[in-house]
Amino acid sequence: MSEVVLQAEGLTKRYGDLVAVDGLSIEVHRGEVFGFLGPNGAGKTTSINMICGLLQPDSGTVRIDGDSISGQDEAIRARVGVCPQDIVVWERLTCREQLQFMGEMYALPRQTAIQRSQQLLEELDLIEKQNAQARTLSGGMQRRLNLALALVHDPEIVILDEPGAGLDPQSRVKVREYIHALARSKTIILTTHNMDEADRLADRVAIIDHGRLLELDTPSALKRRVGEGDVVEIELQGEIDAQKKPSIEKELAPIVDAVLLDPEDKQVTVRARNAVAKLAAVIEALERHSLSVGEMRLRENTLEDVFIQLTGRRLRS
Amino acid sequence: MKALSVMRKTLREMLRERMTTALMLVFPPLLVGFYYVAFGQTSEGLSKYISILVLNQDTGAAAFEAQPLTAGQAFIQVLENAEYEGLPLFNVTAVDARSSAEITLREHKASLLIVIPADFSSVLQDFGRGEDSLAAAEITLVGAPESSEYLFARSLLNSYLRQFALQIAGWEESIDVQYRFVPGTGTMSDFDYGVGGAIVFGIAFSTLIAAEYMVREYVGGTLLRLRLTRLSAFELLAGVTLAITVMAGIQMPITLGAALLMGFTNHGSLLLIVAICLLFNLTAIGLGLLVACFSRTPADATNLASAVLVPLVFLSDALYPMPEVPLFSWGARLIQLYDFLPTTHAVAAIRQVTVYGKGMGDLIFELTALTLLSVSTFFLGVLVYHRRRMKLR
Repeated sequence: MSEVVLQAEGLTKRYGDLVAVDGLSIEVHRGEVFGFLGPNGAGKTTSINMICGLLQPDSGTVRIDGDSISGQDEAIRARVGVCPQDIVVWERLTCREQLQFMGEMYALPRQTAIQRSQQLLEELDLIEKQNAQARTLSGGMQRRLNLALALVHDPEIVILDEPGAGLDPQSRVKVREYIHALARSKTIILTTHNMDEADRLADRVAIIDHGRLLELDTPSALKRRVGEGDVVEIELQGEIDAQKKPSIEKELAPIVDAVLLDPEDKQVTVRARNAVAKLAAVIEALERHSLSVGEMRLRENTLEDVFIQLTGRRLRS
Repeated sequence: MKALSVMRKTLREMLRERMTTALMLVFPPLLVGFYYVAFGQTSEGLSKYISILVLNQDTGAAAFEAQPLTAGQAFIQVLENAEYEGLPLFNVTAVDARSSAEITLREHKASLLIVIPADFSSVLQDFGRGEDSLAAAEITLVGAPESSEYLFARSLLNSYLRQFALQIAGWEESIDVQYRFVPGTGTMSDFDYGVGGAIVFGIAFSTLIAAEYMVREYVGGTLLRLRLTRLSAFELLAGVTLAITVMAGIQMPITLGAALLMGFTNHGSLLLIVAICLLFNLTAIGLGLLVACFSRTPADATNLASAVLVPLVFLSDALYPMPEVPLFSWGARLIQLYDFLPTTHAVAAIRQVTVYGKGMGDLIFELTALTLLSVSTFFLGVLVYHRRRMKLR
């Protein structure tokens, strides 16, 4: 697990005045599932595009097994398989046709391309639809085909960008199981908004925001770092004046360990040891600001709490 | 090898895109069909083309050698009987009033109006008897001077008039004017002339196909997917070019076959026509790639490609003759504005082959110009597409 297979060092990318990625350095170990978390616009996709060789960094390097990846080096680039977040398939080709075509594009021998296509069609439950054009498949099937296209050349490193997005629960379970199985033989870089998915799948998680790496560790270590205790999510009723957010948070701060008020979602999230005992004081403080309390939920720390602590906002904001 | 895989895949997609296939394969023969309906009734010979109105005011003359002379009617008979290669030369229509005939001329529904005067027979009779007459036999030919049909009909009529006068009145002709046509053009109609333009128009559709296809590949993200593979930009563009060329290769025989079925007469080498079309196809693909670079959606590509196609085809003489716009002379040749359009040379070269039966040796200028313009447009398209859509940023 300790052998570094992919190393990004000082990756920087600017678009005019905007610094999309600012000196990002990460090391991904062979055989691990590496979670990449960040809100929209955090620089996640830009980082991924530089890692897989689609984007030229302004500075910094990406190495796979010590070899620098660059746009011109097709052989090194082919060691990575990318499953994009959007469904990227050829609508008028059948499942089998596009898998074999991609195999040929990766310069696989014809017979190998046929075998790999067959294997992936079976593993991802697409065999019954092997001769159906992609445009006739359901959304879930298209997502599975999208994944299969990233794997046809049997890459060492697989980058999965939001693999669970837009999937029905059944397909999500199927994809999750497949990623689990895949993780036994490959290195996986997983970008996701789904904290639960990252928590379950990733060996280590990198959290980035504003193009910078904020934290990188195992999910359990990250959660420990946020703090002990429980999290209480309290729904608020009535309109919340966004301008009052700082004063409300300031008032709650001495009572609990951490607090986040989200006027849009009409929700306040607090974390504290022995949280239940402190609820009365929290509710009293909220009522002083004319906020009446609705439903409340008590749960354990999650990666989302880590994220909120680090960035001051929810991942989906 | 990978280029061939791209070609196979592209062809599959194109053939499954029924609207695109229909547009590419069916529209050009349809255009030929429109031409046929408008100009293609060649069984009527030139009579379809040279329509003559006759206002016969001739009152006739008294008996001459026991026969009353109605020269006007006799001349009309001569025109009606005139033939070329066994087909009628003129379509003669008698009219009652000059005013209504002039309206018909203005509407370009006839080439010329002949007004035969009231004294036509008597003047001719006087000459025939050897009597001097103060009056001269006068026939008025009315037509639009800017009309090439009028000029053509007038010059043909001159010959018939002189022969008629000689026959009736014994006028001597110092020069016997004979009209002969370039081989194969005697019964050539606008249809035969227009088919070359329709063929080029059909090939020009490759612009639309290439643009739409490459934009779809870009917008759908599949281009990005391909860039992650070991496929080079050259292989991708070569594969797409081959696929579109195959489509053009399917389209050409369909268009030509439809034209031949409708009576189109080809006097040249079919292989040479195919070669000219394939050369021009490079222009169309190059333009398609350029259009794809500046389009964000397939709909944008369709609109922009249409905006490119219209001047490309309409200014090239493909569908109707363009006025002269000379720019400069180059040796013995006058270079016109339209000479900078590859379509101009493709249309001219195909017409030279189909209409006049010319071979490669006769088409040095057209083929050289077409090659230079096509190859440079194609490589410009490839270069710009590569820089804008395929290069790392």
